[in-house]
Amino acid sequence: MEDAREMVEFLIELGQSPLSLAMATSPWVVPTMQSIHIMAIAVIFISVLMIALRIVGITWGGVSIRSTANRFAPWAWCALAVLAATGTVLILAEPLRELMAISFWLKMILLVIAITISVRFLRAVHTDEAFTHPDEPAQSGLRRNAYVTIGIWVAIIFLGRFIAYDPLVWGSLSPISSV
Amino acid sequence: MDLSSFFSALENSALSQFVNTFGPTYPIVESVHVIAIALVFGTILIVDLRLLGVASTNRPFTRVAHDLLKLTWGGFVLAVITGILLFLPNATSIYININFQIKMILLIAAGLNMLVFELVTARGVSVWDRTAPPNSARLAGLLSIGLWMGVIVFGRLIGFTSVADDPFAFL
Repeated sequence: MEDAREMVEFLIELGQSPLSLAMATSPWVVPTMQSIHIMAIAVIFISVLMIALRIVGITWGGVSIRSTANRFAPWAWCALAVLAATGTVLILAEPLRELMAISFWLKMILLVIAITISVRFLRAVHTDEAFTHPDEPAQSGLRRNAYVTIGIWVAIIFLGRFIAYDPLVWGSLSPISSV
Repeated sequence: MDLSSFFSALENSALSQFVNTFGPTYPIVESVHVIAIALVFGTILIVDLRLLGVASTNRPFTRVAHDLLKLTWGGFVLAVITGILLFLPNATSIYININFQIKMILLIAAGLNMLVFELVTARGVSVWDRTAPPNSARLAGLLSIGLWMGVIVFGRLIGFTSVADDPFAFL
């Protein structure tokens, strides 16, 4: 409990730092960062969705899974970098609201899982020649992973929005309820 | 009935009360709105980048567009439904919010841009389907990206302005 109190005090102090105060009181920093964050979410979500829908055979017919991954993965990684950068600014502007939210940490856990799945998938795509066939449907394990990955990203988007409503969504489970 | 009493009635409707007060309904609807935005903006971006000759250039334009059409429209319908639900609880203040009004104008402009492209530029698509699109098509793509980015920015700004605020005060 002592640790938790120290954490809260640290976050309050961080929120009072000149940089955080400048960001939080600026009328345009937070909305601009949030707008860029949403555009980057669109890019990463649609990139993942395009690869996943190619794997299950809905879009990009006639294009191999490897070509589809090569077409969209670089966009997803760039968007991830933009999300990390804008996300960091948003945390600095309101450290307490972000880092005390259970939604934030659940989002980070799902993000690590999503990235792990994607890295493993992309490694296989670049070594396994089975992914070069233009029309071959993917194996059932891969198709299942495609649906799971879409589900994880939908959950990440929900949790990102829930950060602002943490006590409303999680009730007493939200650490913010007790601050 | 004038406009303000119409929006006031909307605000006091049962549906509006439900969205606003039934547990975490409001943030859930907001989340679905974000997913809908990602579907619309993401798929439109792919088509626009194809028009600009930046990406997917080895695939015919009509195939790129056809593959994504259902996702774009599905996302758009979802965005309209969730958008109306988010509008209801604050209808009286949002309809006079300058950022909301700018967002609606940008939406109409994006729709007109698409209409002109479909009715005029895309008529000759068979000529450039497999090659670089003409300048008129590139212009439509560029306009589309800019207008939709504007829709997102002014949409986000709605939540940051009170009615009396000048949204450009910081400039």
